[in-house]
Amino acid sequence: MTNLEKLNRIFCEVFNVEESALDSGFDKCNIEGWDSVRQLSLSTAVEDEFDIMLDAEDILEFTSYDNVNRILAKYEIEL
Amino acid sequence: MAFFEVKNVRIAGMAAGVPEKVVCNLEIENISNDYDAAAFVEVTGVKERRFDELTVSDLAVPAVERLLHDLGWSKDEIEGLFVVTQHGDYIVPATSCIMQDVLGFTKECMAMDISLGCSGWVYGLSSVASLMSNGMLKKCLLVSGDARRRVEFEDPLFGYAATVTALEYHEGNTGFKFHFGTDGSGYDAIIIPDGGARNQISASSFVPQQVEGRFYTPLQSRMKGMDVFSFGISIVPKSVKKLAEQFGFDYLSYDYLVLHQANMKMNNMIAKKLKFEPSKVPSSMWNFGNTSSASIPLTIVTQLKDSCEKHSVNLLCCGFGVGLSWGTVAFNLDHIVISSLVEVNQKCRSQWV
Repeated sequence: MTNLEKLNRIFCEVFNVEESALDSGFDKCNIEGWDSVRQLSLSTAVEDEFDIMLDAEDILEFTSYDNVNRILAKYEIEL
Repeated sequence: MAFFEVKNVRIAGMAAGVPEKVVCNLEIENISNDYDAAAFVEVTGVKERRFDELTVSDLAVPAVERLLHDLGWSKDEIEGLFVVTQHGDYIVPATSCIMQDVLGFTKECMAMDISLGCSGWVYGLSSVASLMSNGMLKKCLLVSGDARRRVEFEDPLFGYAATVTALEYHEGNTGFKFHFGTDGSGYDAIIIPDGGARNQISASSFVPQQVEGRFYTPLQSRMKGMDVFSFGISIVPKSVKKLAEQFGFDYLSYDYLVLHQANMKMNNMIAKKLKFEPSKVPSSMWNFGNTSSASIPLTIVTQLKDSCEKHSVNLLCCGFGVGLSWGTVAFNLDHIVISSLVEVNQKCRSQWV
């Protein structure tokens, strides 16, 4: 499984959506139920999957699919 | 800058009272419309919490009784009773006044409530210690805790607890070093909107509104989760570092960092930022949840009993949350008395009500 597939699987499980829903419009403003528990759940799953420790400031930026892609690049996770 | 030091006062003992009834979050169906109970427990770190039809004084009175017995203190000696709570037995009068009578303390005992939440134990400690430091008051009790039962509401994050901290005048004691701060611009990050003087109770107070995937009436406490997360992970490390810089000590040399038990993810982040080893950052969240102003002393009572009874330990404690308000304190506990956890049920309560 590629890193992108791993990331998409996490999003699908956390938000209970199909992979086709994951695009640049998939963000906190557009997705109902993107609350603090889900945001922290998403960040925890990403940390576990890619074996990284996110900085707190990055967790606060986990507010869209695009942001998460961008943040993972900082941790040298190639998608 | 709100830094200050209070000398000549020591903590002699601590105790905690919690409901006997245990609620397991994993057994709650429909914890949210959007995620299951396991996800909630994983993120918050709250697996169990204590909950019952009991008030803060119901929980505190037996804890006080046990602690006084364990310390060998007479009720006649208690000159001050201070209660930190935001969910007192009544809106009026103060819970401390009720407890003075129920506990049989002398009428020469001063009694006062302090309305603060997560930062409340540190604020209460500073207030009581300051009043005692000139030696006029010799023995006082600080009760802190919340039982959020003003309206029917069961939030899986919060548990009920009340703690008691016994303070005594002790000339020459190094006492406590404090740092405090407030950011009232975040007053609505954690709020009960209705039922105070600003928004009186009306029919709309009973209408549920959706907040972060869950439904709350305006009489129930709601929280802007990520705002509070952001506040906690930024302000707590700064407050600890400022206190250490002001008083010239190495905070990493302290034996334990005891944080308000807000959320496991947040507290892990704070410990990481401060480079504290996880083993030096005890937690009671798993079994008791977020217990507001009780969470720091409850963590000491339940997780550090042996260390504090058998050794001299240096503690750094930081309370932070609703207000927004925060306070950090550095102090030593030297062979203090820690009573075993007091578990309260409604039958116990009927003995004094």
